[in-house]
Amino acid sequence: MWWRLFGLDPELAKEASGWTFQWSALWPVWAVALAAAVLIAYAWNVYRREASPLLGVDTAALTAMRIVAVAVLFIMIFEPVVVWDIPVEKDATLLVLVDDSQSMSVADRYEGSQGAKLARVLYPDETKDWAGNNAADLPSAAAEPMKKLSRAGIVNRLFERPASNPLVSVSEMFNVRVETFSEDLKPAASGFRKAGDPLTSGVAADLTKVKVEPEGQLTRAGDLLRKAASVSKERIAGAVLITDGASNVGEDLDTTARYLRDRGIPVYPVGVGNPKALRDVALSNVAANRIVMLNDLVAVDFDLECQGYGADCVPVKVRLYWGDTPVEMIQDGRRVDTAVFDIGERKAEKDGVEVSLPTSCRIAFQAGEIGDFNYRLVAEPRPEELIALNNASTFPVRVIKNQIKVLFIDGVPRWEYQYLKNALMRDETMKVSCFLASADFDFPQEGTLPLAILPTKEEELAVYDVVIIGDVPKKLFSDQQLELFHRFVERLGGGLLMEAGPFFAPREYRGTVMEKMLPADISGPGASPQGTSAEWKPVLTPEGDSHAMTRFDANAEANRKIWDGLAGFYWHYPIDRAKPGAQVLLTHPTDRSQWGPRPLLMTQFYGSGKTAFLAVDSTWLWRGRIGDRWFAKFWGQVIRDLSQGKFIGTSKRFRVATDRSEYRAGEKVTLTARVLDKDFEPSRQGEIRARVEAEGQAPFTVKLDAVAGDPGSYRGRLTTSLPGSYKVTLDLAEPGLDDAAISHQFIVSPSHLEFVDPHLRRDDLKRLSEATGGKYMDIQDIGDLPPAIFGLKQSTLREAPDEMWNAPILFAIFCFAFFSELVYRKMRKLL
Amino acid sequence: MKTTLPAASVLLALCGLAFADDPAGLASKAPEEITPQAQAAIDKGLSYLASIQGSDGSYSLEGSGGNPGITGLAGLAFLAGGNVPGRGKYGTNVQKCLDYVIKNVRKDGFITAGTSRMYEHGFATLFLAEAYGMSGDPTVKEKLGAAVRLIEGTQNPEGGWRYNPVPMDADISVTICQIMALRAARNSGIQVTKRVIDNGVKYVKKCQNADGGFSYIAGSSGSGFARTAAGVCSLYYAGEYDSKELQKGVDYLFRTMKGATTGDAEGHWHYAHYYAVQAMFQAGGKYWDGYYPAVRDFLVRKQNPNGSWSGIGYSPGNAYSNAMSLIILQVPYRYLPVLQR
Repeated sequence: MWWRLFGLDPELAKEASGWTFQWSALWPVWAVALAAAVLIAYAWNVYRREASPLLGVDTAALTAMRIVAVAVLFIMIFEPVVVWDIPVEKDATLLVLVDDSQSMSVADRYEGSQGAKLARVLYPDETKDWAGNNAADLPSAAAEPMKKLSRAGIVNRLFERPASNPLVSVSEMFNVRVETFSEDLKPAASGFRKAGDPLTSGVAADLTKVKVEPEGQLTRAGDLLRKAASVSKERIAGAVLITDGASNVGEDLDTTARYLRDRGIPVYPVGVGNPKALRDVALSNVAANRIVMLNDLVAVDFDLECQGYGADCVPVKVRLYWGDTPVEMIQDGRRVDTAVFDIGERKAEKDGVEVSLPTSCRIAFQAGEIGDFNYRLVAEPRPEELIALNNASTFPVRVIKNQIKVLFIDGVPRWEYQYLKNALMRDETMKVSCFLASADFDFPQEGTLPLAILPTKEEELAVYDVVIIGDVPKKLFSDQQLELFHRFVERLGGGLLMEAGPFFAPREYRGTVMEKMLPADISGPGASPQGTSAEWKPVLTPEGDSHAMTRFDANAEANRKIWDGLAGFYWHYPIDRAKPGAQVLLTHPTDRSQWGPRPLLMTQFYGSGKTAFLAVDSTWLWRGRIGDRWFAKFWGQVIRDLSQGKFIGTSKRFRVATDRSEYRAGEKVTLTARVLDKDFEPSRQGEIRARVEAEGQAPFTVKLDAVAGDPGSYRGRLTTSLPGSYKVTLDLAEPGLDDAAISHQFIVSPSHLEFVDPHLRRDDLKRLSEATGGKYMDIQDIGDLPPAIFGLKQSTLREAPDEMWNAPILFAIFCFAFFSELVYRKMRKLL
Repeated sequence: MKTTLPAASVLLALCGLAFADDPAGLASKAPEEITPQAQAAIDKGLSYLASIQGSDGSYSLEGSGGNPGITGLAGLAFLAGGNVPGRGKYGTNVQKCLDYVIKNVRKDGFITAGTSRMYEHGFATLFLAEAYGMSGDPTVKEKLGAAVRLIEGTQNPEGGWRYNPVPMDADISVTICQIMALRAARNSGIQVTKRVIDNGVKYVKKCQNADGGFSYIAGSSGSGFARTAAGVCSLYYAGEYDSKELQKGVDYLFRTMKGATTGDAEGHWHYAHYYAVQAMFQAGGKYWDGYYPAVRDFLVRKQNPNGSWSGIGYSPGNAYSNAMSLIILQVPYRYLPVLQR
């Protein structure tokens, strides 16, 4: 009632957290003072000059009454206002990011009181009569299902029941936005729930339907946390991160934490999983020759890595399968069905961080039949292992009847020649004829396929599958011999590589048919024989990252590390650019032409064969400290890739290939095809299609577009999803084609990145919460989430003006002052 | 169906799956071979060696003028680090060594200056053969061919060589110099008469004693570490990889290698270990594992603050002991083609 007396709204007064008083129409001070002075003087003068004489006291009293009345009028004219401060809650969003990477598929063992608490949260009915405090004593109704529950399963079970789903109550405080994350963000549910809304509809129902499918091949936790926080237009009150803490790609969490802290976004990580290192054996980096000869012994190198076993020596049983058929192996010279490797956990410090080291292992088997085979190497899971997905790896082997035959010609005995000659002679999958142009006349040319003079007839050259031409003076070859090389590649499907040198090649071959064949534009001015005194390292291009010639490891990151670790060079032949349609695999780090970094290694299809150009001449430097390992592997891969035209299919008119023969699930596959018509002329179709068949998937079609500037060549891409064996077949409108000639197989293996030491990274998550001002909690404590984030609610003040000029009390004062003069005069008999 | 293997293939596996390209068999352990301390010693040593090169490209014997043998060894020390004519940090130094050696090849092929003899000729020829492939200079080939012909023409009837370029007498020490040079020349496309190599091997084998060690001259004195290292290398570079004489020699070396860490090598420490390091690298496995770290750490300790090494026992001078030390330390780089099997 009192508020109304002063003309104020009692409801506003009740809501307000404060107030201020203002005049809405106040005159300037001098005007107020002048008006007051004039009024007082006027009133005094009026009463003083009144006809009936007034006593001094009467004049004063009457003047005062008049002044009060006029003052009230002025107060009303100046429009007094009370501005109430009304607090209003701001709309805010709470991000909830739930990890759906593959590591969330791990079913951990939970122990002790924490395990008991988790069981009570997940299985309240099964544990309501249980008074224990140790997971080992859990009733079987809870213990048995919990053993099988993966991290994702725990999250799903928590979410599916409104009573245990903390997001349901959180959605009353915030607009909740739930997204799953691993490789990218995927929206799962969002909304705001008004108090009292039913749990069976609206956002509450959506939140109970959030389901985590642990399929992500990798986790970009840092990147995606930043992305989720930055793309939102709403105010982000905070972020809840439900995860095992593994962030194996992209920005590290510490950097993301600084970003979020600067934006006032606290993170509340909820850790899922066991923080103790899991016991796991991983088999990885399987390497075997992709093309071997019939009855060859195929060496298979692979890494075995133990985690969580400490220094204990763990016997790991390894088996090899072809389909479901076990394959006999050789281990240390003994024939075995099961190879046993005693390995212990090995640690090393790298960049101040302790990392596990794999143990290099080797078995061998005999290639007994001609054809394409997918072998599967399996490390038998040990009883205590929780992850079996990283215990096996598949690798393809093509068994051919004959060895790859290489003709290697060089001009001078440069060290590249001396080392490559020996590497090729040692490679049992090859036969090599070496020809050193500068050798003494009576010097017996070397090699495992003796050669006295260079081939001068097509049938002599046709013996070979690949020709390598080093720094050879052009005068060594007649024009007919150069034309022979052209036919060898174009018609016979042979491979040809030219490795540049400072004296002759490729400079002397400008204007010849060799220039036409090479994937490099060699029309530039050429090279100086002088090299540099400073070392530089070639740069692997994105195409080189996955190309069969330059891929040393199935894992892209590991491949780049290998390349980074190789010794650099001091000389290169400056090629301006590659030909249209050629693939550039290596470039110079600093030397550029007007078209970009100068290419160092490039390759292209040419006719039914393939050509390559290498603009450096010192790959022997890669032998530094480590011997032939990468040097021989590189050249083996280059030669095998170039030789495919002679080995693939029965027809030289078609070729379909992928950039690699093995991929990790989720990786992109580049498909290339070469199509010649019946006259061996390049196809002129604008596009062709290929049918892709894979185990457990419906067949689908991929479009391959014509490569500009390279008639007959086509390129397309597809993304793998499920692991397994894939077959690509060109869809050509020509009856009676041999399926083998127009198809190609490759393998997709599961990604293992998610299973590298996949324990709960509690320390990382705690650091994230501390850096951003949030709070970490284990999944069993998720009930603490709502009170923890309650403080994130924020309010603002709304100003509510409340006018007082019409306040009853002012009217009452005015009336009192006005009418009291009459009363006073009557009492004093002054009327 | 179960795939089975014939017994012969097991044997093949045993023989064929090893890293035949890596004599020391150390590809996976390689990062441990050259320690950071050894790398620092190599860097300082090469810098020092470059600083004492004569303006004409030569290196000298103690107290005398330029010597093609010492210059050849210095050139090999640069080559062993991956520097080749005109390329790499010491590419210019290699080129200057090459220019000096070429200048001192006589018309008859003898590489000599001042009083230098067949030791120097062998080292210089070896350097020419290694550098030729990377220089591309036809003059180098011409001089190298002449130097090889001189070696062939001065082999004595027993199959060995000695101090002077005449086919008179022989010792195992000068003989290994010539055999190694011939091997490197052959790698570069220079025709070497097979008979010369065969006779050389016969002479070396005649120098072996019952204990596996080698004597200095066939049928004379007893076994010694330095001469055994030379003998073993001779057999390796002649391609006698599977001979029983070679295995016995390697075992003798391994038994008597304690001088690697004591500085005792019958007065010729650098010379002895120049060959021993090559022999052990070729032998690989336990031999290399047991030998190289010891000799490496010894040399790192012995380096002077200015990057040089002083002679240990007999030494023909500062340039010699530095070049030898650097060649020994840099063998794990695996850059010198002559070190390949």
